[in-house]
Amino acid sequence: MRQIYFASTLLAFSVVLPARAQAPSAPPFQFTAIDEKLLADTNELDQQLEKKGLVYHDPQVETYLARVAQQLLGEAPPPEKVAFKFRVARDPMVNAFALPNGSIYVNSGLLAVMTDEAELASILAHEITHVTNRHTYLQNRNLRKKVVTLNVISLVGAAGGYFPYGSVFGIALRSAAAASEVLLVATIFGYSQEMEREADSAGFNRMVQANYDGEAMVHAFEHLDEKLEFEPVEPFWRTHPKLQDRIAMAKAMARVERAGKPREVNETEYLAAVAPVIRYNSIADLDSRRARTAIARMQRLINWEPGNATDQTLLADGYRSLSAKPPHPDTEELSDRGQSLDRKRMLKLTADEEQQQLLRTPQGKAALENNRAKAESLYRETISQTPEFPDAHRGLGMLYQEQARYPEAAREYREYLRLAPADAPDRLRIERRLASASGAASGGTETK
Amino acid sequence: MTLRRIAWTMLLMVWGAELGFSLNDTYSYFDPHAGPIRSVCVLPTEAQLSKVGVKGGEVLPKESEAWAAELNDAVKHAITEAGGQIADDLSPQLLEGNEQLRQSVIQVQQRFATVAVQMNKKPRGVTKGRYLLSDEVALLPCAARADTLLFIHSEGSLLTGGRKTLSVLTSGAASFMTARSKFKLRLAFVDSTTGSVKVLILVYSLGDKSRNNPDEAYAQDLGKEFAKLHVGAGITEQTAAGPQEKRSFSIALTTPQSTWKSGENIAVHATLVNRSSRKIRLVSEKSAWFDFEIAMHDPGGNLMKIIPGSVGSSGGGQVFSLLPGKTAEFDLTLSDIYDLHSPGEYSVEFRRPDDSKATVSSNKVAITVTN
Repeated sequence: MRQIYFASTLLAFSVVLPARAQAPSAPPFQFTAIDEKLLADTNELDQQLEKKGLVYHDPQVETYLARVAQQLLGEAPPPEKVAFKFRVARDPMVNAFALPNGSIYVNSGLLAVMTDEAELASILAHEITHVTNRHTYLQNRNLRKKVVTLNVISLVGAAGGYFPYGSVFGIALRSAAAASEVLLVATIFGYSQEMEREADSAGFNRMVQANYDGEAMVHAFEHLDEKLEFEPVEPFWRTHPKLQDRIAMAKAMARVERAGKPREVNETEYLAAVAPVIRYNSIADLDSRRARTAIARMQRLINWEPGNATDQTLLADGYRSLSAKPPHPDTEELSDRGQSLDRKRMLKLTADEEQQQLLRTPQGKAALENNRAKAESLYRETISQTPEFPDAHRGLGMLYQEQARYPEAAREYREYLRLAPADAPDRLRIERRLASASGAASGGTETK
Repeated sequence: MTLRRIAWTMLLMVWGAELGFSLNDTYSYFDPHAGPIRSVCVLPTEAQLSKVGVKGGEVLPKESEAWAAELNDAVKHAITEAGGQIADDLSPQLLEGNEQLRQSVIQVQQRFATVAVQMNKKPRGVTKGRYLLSDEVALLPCAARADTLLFIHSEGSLLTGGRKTLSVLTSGAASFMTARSKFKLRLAFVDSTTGSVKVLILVYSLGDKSRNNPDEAYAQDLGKEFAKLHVGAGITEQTAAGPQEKRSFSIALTTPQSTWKSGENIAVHATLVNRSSRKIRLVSEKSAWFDFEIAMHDPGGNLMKIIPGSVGSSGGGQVFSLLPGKTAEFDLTLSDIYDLHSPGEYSVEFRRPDDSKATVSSNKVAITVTN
C-alpha cells in the first residue's frame, strides 16, 4: 500500500515539476456568493488580528519575509482577488496558515524552530499553494454542500477548551476559528488529505523553482515533530496525513530533485534576520509554561552569537522558570504513556502545583538545584560582562527572592530600578518586590 | 383542520420561546482571605457569539465584538451600582493607540489563561486561593490605581427560528429549555498585587435577553452577588467577622502613582458611596477631608501628626447631603498637611463613623517616597 502511495507521489511530482504557479490550463475560478462571503470574513479577520495586537511588527523581519516570499512567487501575477501579504503572528505554537485573500501568517513559534531560509521557504511555498489552488474556497463549498453532521459549535467549544480565552499559545488559530467555521476546520483540523498532499508537492516544486534546496522541506517537517514538552492540542499536521508519511514523501521528492547533493544550511543569515522574533517568542513560551522550549531557542541564539546580554538573560530566565523540571524530557516522558501523563498533569495542575509535585521527588529537588545554579551563573556572567544591563539584575533579584536571599534580592532590584528606563513596564512590579524583599530582609514577613 | 391546529400550536410555542422570559443561574466562589474589591481595572472583554441553525452553527465575529462592548458596559454599571469604582477600563480603542500597554495586557491575559484551564474545571478552587497569576499583573499600570483586575469572558449560542421550531418538534415540553439561546458569563476578580483570583462569578442564562439587553439581563443577578461580596465596601469585613449589617457607605482610596520623589505633591483621591437608603451629611468638597479621620503612618509604622498650621482657616466648608446611591469624590494633597520628605514607604487610610457609630475604613494605600 505504501509503495503504491509513493509511486503515485513520484508521478504527481514529475507532473507538477514544470509548473510554477497554478496550471495555465486550469479553468478560471468562478466566485460564488458563498466564496465572496468567505473572502469578506477573511478580510475582516486580517483587521481583527491587527486590532488585537497579534501581528508582530518589525521592519527587519517583515522585509526578510517579503524577500523570501517574492523569491517564491516570482513575477507571475497573483490569482484573482488575491493580494499576497506575509505576516508574523504572535503565537508560540509551531504553525503557519493561509487565508484565501492571500494573507499568510507564520507564527513566531514556527520562525523560532526553523533552521534556515530554505526551511522557511518550504513552509511558505506550502501555504502559497493553499491560496493559489483555492483550497479554502473548495473546502468551504464542500462543507456547505453536506448536510452538516459536523457540529461546528462543539468544535469551537473543544478548541476553546484547549485554547482558553487570552491564551497566547494558539491565539492566532483561535482568532481564525472565531472568524469562520471553514477557517476553524482548515487551521485547527487541517484541509483534506488530498489538499495537504497537493500543497506539499506543489510547494516543493515552487521552492525548487525558486532555487531553494528541496531537502529543506524534509527538515522543516521534522522540526514540526519536536516534542520538548506538553502541547495543549495535538497539531493536525502530525496526524493528517501522518507527519511521518509527509516526511517520507518529501524525502522521495528530494531524492529525485537533488540526486545525492549535500544540503547547505545557512543558519547564520537566517538567525540574523529573525532573532528578534525568536526572543519575543521565548518570552511568550515562558508565559505559556513552556520553559524547555524557551531554553532550547535561546541556547541556539547564544551558540550563534555568544555573549549577547539579552539572550543570556532570557536563557537564565528559562532555567529559573523551569524550577523543578529537568531541561530535557527523558525517554519515559517521550513515550506515548509519558506524553499522556504529562498532558493530564498539565490540564489538572496549576504551574505552582506541578512544581510542588515535582519537588516531592529526589529528581525534582536535584533539578531545582541545578536549574537555579545554572540561572545564577548565567545572570552573574551577564552582569560581569554588561554591568549596565538591567534585565539581568531583575532576573537575579527574582532568583534570590525565590531562595529567600532577601538582602541580595533587594540589592539587585535596586540596581534594576536604577538602570531601567523610567517608563519600563515592570517598574511597578519591581518596586513592589523591592518593598517586599526589603521588609523581609529587615526581619519582617515577605508580602506576597 | 387537525394539521392547522398543530401548525398553530407549534407557532405559539416558538413564539413563546422567542418572547419568553430569560432564566439566569448564578454561582459565585470567593477566597475568604483575599482583599476587598473597591476599585476595579477592567480588562478587554472576550466574547464569542455563535448562531446555531438546523444544519449546524456559525460564529459571528462582528456581533461578538459589539456584544463584548455591551457586556463590558453592563458589568461596569453593575459594579458602580454596587458601590465599586472603575479605576480603569482597558478598552480595545484605548489599547489600539498604545502598543506597549496592549502587549502588557496580552501578557497578563496569557497569565490568566494558564490558570483558566484548571479554574474552569474546578471553580471551587478559588475559595482556597488556588489560582495565582503571579505579581506579573503589575505590568498593567492600572494595578497601581485599582485593588482588583477584572477578566470578563462570555460565550453565547443564538438559536435561529428554524432551530427553535425543530427543538419544539423534537423536544415537546422540554423545548421550554432546548428552544432557547444559551449564554455563559464568567467574571474573574484578581488581586492587583498578588495576582490571586479572589472571586469567580459564573452566570448561566437561557433566552435572548442576554444578547439583546445584557444590562437588564444581568443587573439583578450581578447586583445580588456584588452585594453579597460587599463590592465597594470590601469582602474581608464580611468574611472575617461573619455576616454583618451592611455598611451605610463605603470609602475607597486611590493614588495616581505609587512612587513619588521627595518634595513632590503627593495626592490621594477618595470616593465615598452612599449605600444606605438615607441621606449622608458631608462637608463641602473643598475641605471634605475634614469629614474623615486620616490614619497616616510613617515608614516606621508610627501614626503621623498634621503639620501645625497647615490646616488653614478655609476649613469647615458647607454642609451638603449625599443622596442614597450617589457618589462623592474628593482629592487631598497629603504633602500639604504631612511632612513626607523622608524617603520610605508611608501608608494612608481614611476612616469615618457610620450611622451606628461603627467605623468604616477605606483601603490602605502605600505611598513610596524616593530621593
